[in-house]
Amino acid sequence: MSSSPVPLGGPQNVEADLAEVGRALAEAQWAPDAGAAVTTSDLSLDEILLLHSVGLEPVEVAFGVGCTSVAFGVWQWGMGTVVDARQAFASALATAKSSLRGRAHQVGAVGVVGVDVQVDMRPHVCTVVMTGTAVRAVLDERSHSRFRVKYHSSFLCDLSARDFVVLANAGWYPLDLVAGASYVQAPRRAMGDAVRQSTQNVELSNFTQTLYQAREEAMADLQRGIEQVGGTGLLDAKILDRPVPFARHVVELVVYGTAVKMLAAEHQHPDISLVVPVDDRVRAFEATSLRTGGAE
Amino acid sequence: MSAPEPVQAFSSGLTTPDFMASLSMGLRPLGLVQGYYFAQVSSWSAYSGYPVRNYPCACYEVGMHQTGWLGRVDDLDRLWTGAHATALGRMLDEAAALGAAGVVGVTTDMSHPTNENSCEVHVYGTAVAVPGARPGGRPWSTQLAGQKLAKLVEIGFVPTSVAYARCTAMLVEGCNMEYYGSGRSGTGNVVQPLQDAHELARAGAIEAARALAAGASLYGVTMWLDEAERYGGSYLTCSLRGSLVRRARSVAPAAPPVATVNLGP
Repeated sequence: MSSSPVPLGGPQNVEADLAEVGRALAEAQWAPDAGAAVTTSDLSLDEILLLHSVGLEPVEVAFGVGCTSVAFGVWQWGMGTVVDARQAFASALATAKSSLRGRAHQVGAVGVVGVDVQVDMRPHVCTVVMTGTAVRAVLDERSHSRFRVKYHSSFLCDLSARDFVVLANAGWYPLDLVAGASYVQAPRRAMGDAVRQSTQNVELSNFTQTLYQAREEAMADLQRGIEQVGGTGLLDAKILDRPVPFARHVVELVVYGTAVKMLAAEHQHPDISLVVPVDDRVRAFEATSLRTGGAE
Repeated sequence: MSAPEPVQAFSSGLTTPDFMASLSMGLRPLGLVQGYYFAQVSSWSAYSGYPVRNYPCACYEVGMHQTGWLGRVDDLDRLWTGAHATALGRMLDEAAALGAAGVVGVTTDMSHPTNENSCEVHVYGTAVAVPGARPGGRPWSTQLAGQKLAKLVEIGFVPTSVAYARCTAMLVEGCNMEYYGSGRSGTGNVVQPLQDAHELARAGAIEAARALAAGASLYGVTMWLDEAERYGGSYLTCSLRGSLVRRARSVAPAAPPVATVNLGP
């Protein structure tokens, strides 16, 4: 296969020449390597293409794990925040982030995109696992980086590669993955209230207040995290709001997202084209209507 | 583009768009090819690991102390990766017998059909002939088909093979783990054995994938973790599945994307 300076589907040739693709596949077993480098990536091909357009390419699937202990007896019925659980989460998160950054640094990556975050709180252990694809800068013919931004340490972001590219083209860049968490115990109702309300459809204000308290604390942690990394804001916040499985009187609220900062002089408004798809779903024929003459 | 010669009716797992794209690329579907492997997993393989790290007692309690340890269950991993390789090989044999140059849209099903002591792997895909392909080569295989396969070639890669790698870490809890796990040491201490087990399983799977790749790249990776408790030990298995590809051509960076707003439903 010959070397070509222009991708088959490049600007001069918007539609890929599928016959040319077929010819390339005919030689697939025999084609010489054009630069062997072991990479692993959980990105889709579309995402790899998009990243390439901003001067990045995948290097390796990277992960970070943090497991920290939670003190004995913190899940008993009580009032207010379970401070130990919140502290354990913060510690596990910091370890996981540090481990992920270390791995990204080892493979010469500028950052990690598409980070998936899993939080597993158990009675005595809190585990945070982060998995994403480490990306590095593509070098041009003069060995200059095609990616223009220099980071002091690898960036972490849970945005997809598509979102990353849209952001980068508008002059914004991700800085870090920040999170806040809170574990709050719902206070018990008074016995009299519980009996009186047993036959009513009524708001359980103790749980509502617990949710508000958990939210306030988690958001405060998140806000602090954004400011600590020097971000102007946070995008795509995800909220995990669930009762703790082994202590259902405790509400777990975890919120995380990617802190971003505008590095360009001003926001670059993308030139957006409107697309009206003409391949709408066809009206399906319901065979069951035949049996009843459509009377059903 | 002329229709494929009606020599023999073909079967395929291709969707209609993938089928159309395949014909445009000159790929002619030959048949749905499959490979199976069914094995018994011996108790020794399933439950025995060899230690890679010991955790001395840290609880300072009076009485019998048990040392915790972390190990790898290589026998089990070898069985599953071998099962996948054999099933894949059988599928490729079928494809070669049909005169195929490659197999597209490869799907892999792996399960314990009866219990944890059995292993079944089923690999299947659509064998395709490519005009101009040199005879005699081992057919390539890929999870991709249709436009996605075209896109892979557009960015300078050619498919090599589908790949599966895994690593199982086995953690036997000792006093150390119990001590931290009970929370008696307080909050915020790193539970090192558990963290090591997570890292060993994931790093081992990535390392195995890199060894499989042997200079190629593994794209479209799906990575997942299975946890199990057996006979007092915790088993963490990290698996990776993807398509091995080789760079066959250097290409310039893709053009910047055009932002669009879809007004459809």
